[in-house]
Amino acid sequence: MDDEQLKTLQDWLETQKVYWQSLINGEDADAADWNTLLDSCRKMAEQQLPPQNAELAEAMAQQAKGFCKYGELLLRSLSKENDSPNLDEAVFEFSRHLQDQTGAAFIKQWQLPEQLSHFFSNLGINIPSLPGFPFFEQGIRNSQDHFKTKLTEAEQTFREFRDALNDYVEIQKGINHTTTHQLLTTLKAGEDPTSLEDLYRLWVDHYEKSYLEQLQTPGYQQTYSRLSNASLTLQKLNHEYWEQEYRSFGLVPLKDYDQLLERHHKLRKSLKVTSKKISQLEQQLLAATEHDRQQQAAMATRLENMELKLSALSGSTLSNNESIGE
Amino acid sequence: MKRLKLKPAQIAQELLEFNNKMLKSLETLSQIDQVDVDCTPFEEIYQEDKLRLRFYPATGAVVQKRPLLIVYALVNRPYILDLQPDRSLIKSLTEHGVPVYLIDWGYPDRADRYLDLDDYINGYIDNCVDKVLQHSQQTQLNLMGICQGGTFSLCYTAINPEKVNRLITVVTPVDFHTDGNTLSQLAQGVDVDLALQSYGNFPGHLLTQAYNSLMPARLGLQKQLSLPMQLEHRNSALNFLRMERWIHDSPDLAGQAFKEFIDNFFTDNRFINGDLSIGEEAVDLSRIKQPLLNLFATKDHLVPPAASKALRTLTSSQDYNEHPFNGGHIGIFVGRRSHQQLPKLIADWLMKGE
Repeated sequence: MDDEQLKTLQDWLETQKVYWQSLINGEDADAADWNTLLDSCRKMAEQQLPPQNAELAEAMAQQAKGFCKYGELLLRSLSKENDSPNLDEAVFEFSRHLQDQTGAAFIKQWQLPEQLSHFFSNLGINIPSLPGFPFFEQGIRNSQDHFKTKLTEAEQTFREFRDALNDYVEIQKGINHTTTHQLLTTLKAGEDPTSLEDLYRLWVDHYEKSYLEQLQTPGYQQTYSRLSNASLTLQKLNHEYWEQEYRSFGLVPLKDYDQLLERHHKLRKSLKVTSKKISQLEQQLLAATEHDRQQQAAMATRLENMELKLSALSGSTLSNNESIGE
Repeated sequence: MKRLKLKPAQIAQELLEFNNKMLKSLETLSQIDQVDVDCTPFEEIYQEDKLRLRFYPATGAVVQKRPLLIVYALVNRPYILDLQPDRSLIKSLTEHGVPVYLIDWGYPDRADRYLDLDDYINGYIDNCVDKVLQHSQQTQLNLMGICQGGTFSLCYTAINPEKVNRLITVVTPVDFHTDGNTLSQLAQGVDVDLALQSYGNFPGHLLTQAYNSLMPARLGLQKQLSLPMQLEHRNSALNFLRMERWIHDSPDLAGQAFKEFIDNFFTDNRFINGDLSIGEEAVDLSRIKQPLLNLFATKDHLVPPAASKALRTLTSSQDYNEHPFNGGHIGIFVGRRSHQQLPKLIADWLMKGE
């Protein structure tokens, strides 16, 4: 971070500090522009940070914006001497604020990838513009029939995805609703958060509890499966679409490549089995050869012994004969 | 009527501190170019396809003869065991005199989509076991499987009991259908065939997303709110960044192996229901007679304790030991307290078999 950036950020915080003080005093002052901070983060991320640090910087700045937004709301309310919000109002407002934040994260999680968005933009009459690949456009013009046959299937799947997403959003709303009410009950029972951070922690604890309860219901699991499978089907349709396009351009589609890989894998497996068998046979052969060798050696020893015995026998016979002859 | 007892001045002060820390964190982030992991020196003694087998020599005063082979999961990367010098299970084990070997599975790509469990267990692991035995000049080794690697190690030991002296399973799923196993419950309904038709291999980032979706507010909102505290100072920032790097470093999973794992374990729960085969080898856990140490984490939301503890009745081991660790699935490796206990516990237990 260079000196100029550091100064920009420090000035920004100084303005915020004045703004927060003015809120306490019930006065009007201009808040610092969050875009100054976010732009500065973005610039720093682009120029100086490795990707992981850049993502964290961005996430941290966005989260700080949300944290301050609710903090300022609360400051504004609490500073009104006779009109500070009751607990219900404060908690509902807080929950609304956090729902916005968790909702954005949730939508991001189930957002269709860019390539799929392209695919759906293709579902209309307009032929897609693919900068840098002009020959694709001509190809797509030529394959409109194939394109149309996929249309019905894609529309049905997309409808299923949308319905599942709607059901999932409803479940999320239910979780948020339960969280809010349980948090309120806890606070009314006497647990007083000692800081804004503590209030967030309490909300997270209650959210996770009601989320886990939902997670274990068949209804949630079915909706999760529907949403996952619809999303996967859309991916698959997208792949199939491009398979056809690749083929029409004379390119090798992934499907063919996969078939080759499968064959290669089977061959490799059978080679391993054969190698293992050969190795076992070699070992058996070695063992048999060794056994033969040992047998032959034993046989040779036996023969040698027999010969020795024979020669000893014939020697003693000869000496006997000689002694008889004498 | 009850009201929030927060004071305006206190909130303003909190906002100021929060933003102050955020600005310091931005400055700290801008001063960190890269985060290093894999801190302990090792020698690569074998490679096969994308797999690498590492050897970490023992450095302790008393060196154990029998080597320990660690089989990590296919999910995420094994450097969680060697994240940084003061939080490295591998380094501590070697300091306790244990010669350690580790399988690094690498990053499967499209060419690996047909690798199946037979390739992994009867192929890769068996080859690594042979190499370790050859390298260490021993006839038996000690095997330690982590998470999914524990499931693999159980299969391997049941198939090849003669090669394993002692077996350790760490946060290992055995019974996939215990109450509260939300990951398993969610996995049941997802069409794996469809996933593989769409992607070939199963994308690692989808798995990370699925893990995060088990505790979305804690791993999303709360974690992000803690960033200014975590990143303010260089050392704590480095600790945090190493973990972040590991969390998001999730290799894709070879398609066929992933499908077989889901079918055999998540869906059919074959350790419990029986009739499990890996390739042409039947897996019967009752063939495991080795001393067994089963380690699990009491707050593990990915592999609940009950899923691990189910192992107790499934083997024929007369020397079965369980040990709970207070913490979560990853905390058992990187948590301060467990880091003080785990390496010694493992080394002492292995020493009994020397």
